[in-house]
Amino acid sequence: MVHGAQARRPSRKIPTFERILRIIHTSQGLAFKKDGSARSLLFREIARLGIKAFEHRAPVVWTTTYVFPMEMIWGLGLIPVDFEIYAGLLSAANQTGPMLKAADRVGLPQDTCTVHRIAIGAAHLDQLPKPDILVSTTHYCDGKAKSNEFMASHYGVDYLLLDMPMEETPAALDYLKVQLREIFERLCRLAGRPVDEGVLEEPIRHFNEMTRTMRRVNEMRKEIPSPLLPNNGGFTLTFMTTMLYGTPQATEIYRRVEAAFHEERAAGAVPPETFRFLWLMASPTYSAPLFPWLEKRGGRIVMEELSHCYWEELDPSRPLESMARRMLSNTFLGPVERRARTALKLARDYGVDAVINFAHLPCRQSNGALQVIRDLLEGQGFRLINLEADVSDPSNFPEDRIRDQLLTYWEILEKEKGRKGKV
Amino acid sequence: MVEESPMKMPHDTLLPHTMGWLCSYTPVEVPLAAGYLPVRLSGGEGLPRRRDPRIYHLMCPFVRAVFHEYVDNTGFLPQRMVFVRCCDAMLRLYDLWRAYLDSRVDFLDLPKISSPQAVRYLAQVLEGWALSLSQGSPRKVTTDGLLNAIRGMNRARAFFRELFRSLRRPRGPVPYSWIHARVRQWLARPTDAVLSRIRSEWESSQQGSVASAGGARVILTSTMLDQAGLIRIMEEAGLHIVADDECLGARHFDQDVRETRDPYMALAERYLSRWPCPRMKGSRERLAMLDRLLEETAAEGVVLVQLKFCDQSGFDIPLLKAHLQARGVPFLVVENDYGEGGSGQVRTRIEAFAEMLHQPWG
Repeated sequence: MVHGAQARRPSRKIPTFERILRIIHTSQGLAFKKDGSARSLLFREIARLGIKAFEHRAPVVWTTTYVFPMEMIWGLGLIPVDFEIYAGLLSAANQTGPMLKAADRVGLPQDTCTVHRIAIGAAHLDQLPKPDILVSTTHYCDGKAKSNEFMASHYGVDYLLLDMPMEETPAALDYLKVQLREIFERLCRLAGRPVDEGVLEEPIRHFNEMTRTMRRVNEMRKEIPSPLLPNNGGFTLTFMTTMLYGTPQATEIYRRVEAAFHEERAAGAVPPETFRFLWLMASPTYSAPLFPWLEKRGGRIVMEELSHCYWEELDPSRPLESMARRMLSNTFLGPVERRARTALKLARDYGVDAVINFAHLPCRQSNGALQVIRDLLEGQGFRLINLEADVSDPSNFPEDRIRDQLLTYWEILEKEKGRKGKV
Repeated sequence: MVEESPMKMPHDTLLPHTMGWLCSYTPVEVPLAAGYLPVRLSGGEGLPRRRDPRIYHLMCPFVRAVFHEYVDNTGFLPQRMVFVRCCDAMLRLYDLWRAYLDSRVDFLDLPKISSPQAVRYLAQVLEGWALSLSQGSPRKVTTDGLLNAIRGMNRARAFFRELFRSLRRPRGPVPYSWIHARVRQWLARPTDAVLSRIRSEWESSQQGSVASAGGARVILTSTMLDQAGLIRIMEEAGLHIVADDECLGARHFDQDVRETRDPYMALAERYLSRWPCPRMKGSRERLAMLDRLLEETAAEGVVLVQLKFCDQSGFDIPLLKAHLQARGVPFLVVENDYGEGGSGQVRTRIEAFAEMLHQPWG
């Protein structure tokens, strides 16, 4: 297979999504030169990666970046694509309408996940970089693995499914490790590289460095007041950076967040806060008015469930085993009690006043047993505010209802905490 | 552990020595060998009108109906319950069952692939389950006991396969609805007595009148279709269901378990290599199976009854649609919200489809 600029056809039609990525790349590159912020660096890098995938400068692997060990992709010089992250970018760019219509045309039921429908619609409209292989995981949700099965058929490429056991037993660890080895061998062949786990050493070093930096950032967010990451920036940072796990850029992004926090603190510029919130699950990828609403009133999201650094550092001498251990320690895996206990610990550690759950409507995985999480949190004195809307489709964001819900809870918190909400 | 919820419902009708199950991938041979009667639970009459905030409202209506059926304390509760890793909705039902119901609950980590490693892993999971069942169960699980259970289930599978095969005959003795009802009776109480009764009914039907004379030949495909009403509508519309691809239909009885001295491996092999449901990786295999059915039964069309909010099967629809369109096979999708009978609109669509098959254009 020929990759790189020579492989490109000069008359290639540029898809709209690629144009969007090029605009992001240029604008965020300029912004980064000016402000040097983590946010502009992150967006520039994600856009750069997307452009590389469109140009097919190396074999392209579609995967689930927030579950699959990305060190494997980076160690072999492959280009990762996660269509969920791209669906988020399409939503942010107000491009979801045509994608959802295309998904309807192929016959996908409207009650399936919007994020996956956008991605399938985008693939149908030839808006995504073409994969050489798909590597999906059974965790977090059924929809992602099933979407990949559709994509494999659509693009006529191989699809590997990493079956994640739900128990942390020696047998489960072995089962996962063997699968990781098989996938690694398959990816080595795709990359045209010898099968040598030594290539994982450097990305693991970067991953561990990033882990340490991320932990320091999370630690600083426990401060009162907690540094502000506007528009649920903590969630965006965590979710999108997963694509870069195992690269020096990921560490650099967290370093810049850390440096910005230090600067703000030293300058006494951290905005005052009234109520502190823990954010559960997903977050809208379009411009949602709920964040300015919260920020205006001094409401501060001090931690996101997905930003929790639950894992141990990886062991470069046993790369696949430590990757498997990390995957099995995912707090979303297994019975909901595990997730509930983690939420409770985070609520306590970050001294929050309440917990906000953003229930992405078609997500059975995260919403199915939310009541068990609510019971545990509320039993320990943490109110759970459940906001139901769609993460990617702005037409399914009931603004008035959500504002009323937040207002009601705000008044309750004022009464309960004896604090005034407005700063 | 999570603190016990004050809303947990006490059941005073715990049925001793019964183990409830829901997914067709549950290896019922293991509880049988431990002296439990493995009973298949259903969602009863369907979803009640009121919403229970404990279970998410936009989730599989089958799962929600089962939760309502048992949490409302209207039915008996099996002494023990087993869930398998089959889909997101079922996993969440497992969480809710543990939180709000009294049965002792087991969980089986069932792989979604069928590689040799997956088979080995499942065999280990099953052996561990048998060991845990042996404590406090009516019987200790032994190799001989398990082999007996395997033989018994294989016999039942062979019998039901014969029933499903009879549908392919141009003038079969019973319609699909007859088999559908008997399968559910047996799964709800899989005893020798129930099987014997169904067997004798079947034998007498062989001498009786012909049930399926004429009608357009169709294949019914679905995940969980408990609703006899929908099937009745199809038959009343003149559709002759010659085969199915449904969780508790012919798929459930596909392939025997090898009767060997390594029963755990044999069980794992059978459950991971049987005719797959959409939970398993392998849409190509499922489409190939459908092609085979179309050829063997000379079916003229396919009816897909899509359980609402079922992601596993929902994502397969575009592939199925494209595949059947390419083959020129007429295809109807009907949505099922686990309500009995279906709406007038559903009836009209099914009737129109039957009419179209009777009088194909061009």
